[in-house]
Amino acid sequence: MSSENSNPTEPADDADGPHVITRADHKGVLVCGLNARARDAGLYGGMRLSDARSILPGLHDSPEDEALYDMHLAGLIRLMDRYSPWVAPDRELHAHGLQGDGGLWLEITGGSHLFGGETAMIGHILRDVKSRGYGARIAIADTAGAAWAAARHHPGAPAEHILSLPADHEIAAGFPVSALRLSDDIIALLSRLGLKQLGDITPLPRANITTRLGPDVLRRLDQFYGRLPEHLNFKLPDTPWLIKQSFGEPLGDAVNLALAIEDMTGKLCEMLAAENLGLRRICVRSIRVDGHAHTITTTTGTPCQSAPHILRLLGEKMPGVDTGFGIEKIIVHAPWVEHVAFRQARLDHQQDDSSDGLALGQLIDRICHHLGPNDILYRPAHHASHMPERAAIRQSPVGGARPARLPDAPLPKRPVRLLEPPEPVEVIARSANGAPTRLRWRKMIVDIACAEGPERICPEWWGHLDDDHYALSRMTRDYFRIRDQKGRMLWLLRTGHAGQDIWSIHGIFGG
Amino acid sequence: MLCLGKMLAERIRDARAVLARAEKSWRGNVSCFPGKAGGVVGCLFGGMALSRNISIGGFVPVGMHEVICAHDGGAASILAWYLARIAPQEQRAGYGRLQGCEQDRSQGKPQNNAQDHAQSNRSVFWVRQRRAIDQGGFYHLALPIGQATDPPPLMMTVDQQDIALWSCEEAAKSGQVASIILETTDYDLTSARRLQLACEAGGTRMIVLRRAFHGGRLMPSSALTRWKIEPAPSTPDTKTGNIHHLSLIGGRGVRPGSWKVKTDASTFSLSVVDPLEDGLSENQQDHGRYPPQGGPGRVI
Repeated sequence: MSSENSNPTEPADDADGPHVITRADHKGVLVCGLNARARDAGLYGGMRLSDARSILPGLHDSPEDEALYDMHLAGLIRLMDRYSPWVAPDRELHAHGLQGDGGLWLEITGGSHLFGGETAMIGHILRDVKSRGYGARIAIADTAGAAWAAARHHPGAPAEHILSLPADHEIAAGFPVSALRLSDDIIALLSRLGLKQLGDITPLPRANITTRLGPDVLRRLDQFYGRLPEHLNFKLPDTPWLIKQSFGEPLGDAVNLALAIEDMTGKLCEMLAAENLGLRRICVRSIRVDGHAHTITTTTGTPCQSAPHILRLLGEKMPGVDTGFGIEKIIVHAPWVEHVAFRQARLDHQQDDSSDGLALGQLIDRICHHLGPNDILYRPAHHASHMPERAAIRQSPVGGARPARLPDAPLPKRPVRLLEPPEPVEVIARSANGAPTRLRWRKMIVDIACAEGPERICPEWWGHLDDDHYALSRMTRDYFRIRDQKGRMLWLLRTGHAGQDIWSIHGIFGG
Repeated sequence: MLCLGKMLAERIRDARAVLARAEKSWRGNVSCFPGKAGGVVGCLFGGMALSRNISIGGFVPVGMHEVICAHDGGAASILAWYLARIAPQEQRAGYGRLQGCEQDRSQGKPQNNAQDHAQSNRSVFWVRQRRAIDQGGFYHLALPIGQATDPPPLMMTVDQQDIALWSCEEAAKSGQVASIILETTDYDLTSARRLQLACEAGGTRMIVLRRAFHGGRLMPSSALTRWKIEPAPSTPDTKTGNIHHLSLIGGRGVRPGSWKVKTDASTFSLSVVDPLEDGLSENQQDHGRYPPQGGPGRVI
């Protein structure tokens, strides 16, 4: 059985117009993916971009991103894993073809009844795929070749692409010869011979076909009708960091579910520890008797082998699992594992987590799982910039490589509190030389008892290459350290031109 | 006349006995502190003895302490950092002539060495609740990190107070950070008690920069000490420099006091302006004179 999806790199249809994905090789820049508008305009995969532009001058194009393609493909395979664990990508087409017409095969033998039959299953898959923004054509057939052909050339409604041979022989006979996955040369030869459909080839003597057209046509034809086996390259997990457990009596309450997950997670951590690995991400999938699957995913900041820590992180998400009529299967999978530095165990086979920062990493994990959308946890770092707000940057709390203070970038005295953005002040009184002596800040009068400065900070010219000198001079900052009548030390900022100064408070010193 | 004199003498003797008993019970209530008497820091701020103001004899390094501030003039952050990083070594390098310091030195040294060593590689966890103290953020480039061997702090900025309190409690219980500085608005007694218990469970110190609204009544809390620091007003004639008024305004077994201190923003430290005045009054008290004769920089 097979399922066929449109090319994951195919750009989304938008109102902007035709769009193509291009691939550059020794022949030039070729089109390898099209959206519907480009396809409607007569463009096709494998043509040169220059030819496509001659047809559509306003064509938008983007270079092919193989990493993005692989990421989407992996996501689709994970999605299809709900329907069958045996998923095979159409790798040959991705590697050599330029049609932008890849696909996936799903081995669903004996599994379609779980989804209400084959027609309902097609509907389920179509909804899932479309909800993630892909276009898809799906068919179910007895062989991989027939499914591939039916997905592309079946004349029925999209949800009824079911080809059952030999009952549907008439439908199969109407498929074009390109449904046999033949090379362009052979298809051109068949076309010259007037053999345009499968029904034209099947009555021919087999010996003549091999003699005149080569062995590929007969091999593909036999694979289509199931007379020859076809080996698919199923995408199976590369690593064995997966534990499945089925339950004869479905788990009906959360307590039993938690106990089962605890047991399986402990086993997985033992397996990882034996290989000196630690998990960075764990997925726990609970499959109910009605086929609904609930997945909990947790990520850690450092490679982790500690089952209690992982269970605590998972436990915070466990209340979201609805057991329904019972959970019949649990899959615990670690899709992301990393090597951990060798740690010597004590004689009692216990490890002291506090010795090498593991306990701190676990604390950071626990805190990070509670942070809101605007909350941040970081370690401070120093960026070589004169701008005070740019000099202070953030880095990851775990494994940050930047120093907290650059040794070769000395800083003048900086305030303890930096106000962002600077708070504008109103100058009430000035001295004879024009310097402010009394300000109004936060609706309060600030009498300047003494002032030091200025510290002049010019804008970074490389960020304003298009501006002229006049524009740059307006962005020059003059900082003064002032002490007010209350004894506070403030960082007074002056921007703008002489005569049109803008004064503001940018920070507060502690002493 | 003689009878009247006798009665007066007896009443004075009784009053002195009551006072001595009260003093004894004030000083004797040590077992309720998490660090016990051996771990306290007797001298702070460059030699200021705290045995007269804190019944246990000094600053308890494990537990929750509060710094009350309306707007942070910068000195509150320096005080919080100083209290968070204060190590019991200070009492050895401090004002050694004080009798209280000598006593603390002899009691606390062996116990604290291991703890100091364990905490030396741990960083300060600074949790900031947005808009709690000021709209400005703490500018970490002002910190004296990088110049010393201290690891860089772990910083967190959150919107919700409950997330800040939960994170602090979790970090305090884990004992994986040297100390915690929390900037937050007012909180209730239950939250304060939870934080205090978490600190005691993990052996962690927590300094809370607590927002006090003008005219509002401050909620009580279970903090061990409660401090307040304000800049000394300056006039055109007298430039006060970095002089601040530091007040110990409350806490467990605390007798309020106030000092003039000088802040140093380059090292994030505070030092009393004239430690000799405090030393003299301490010696006078130890010789049995009560109430103490405070110096001009001290108000009791």
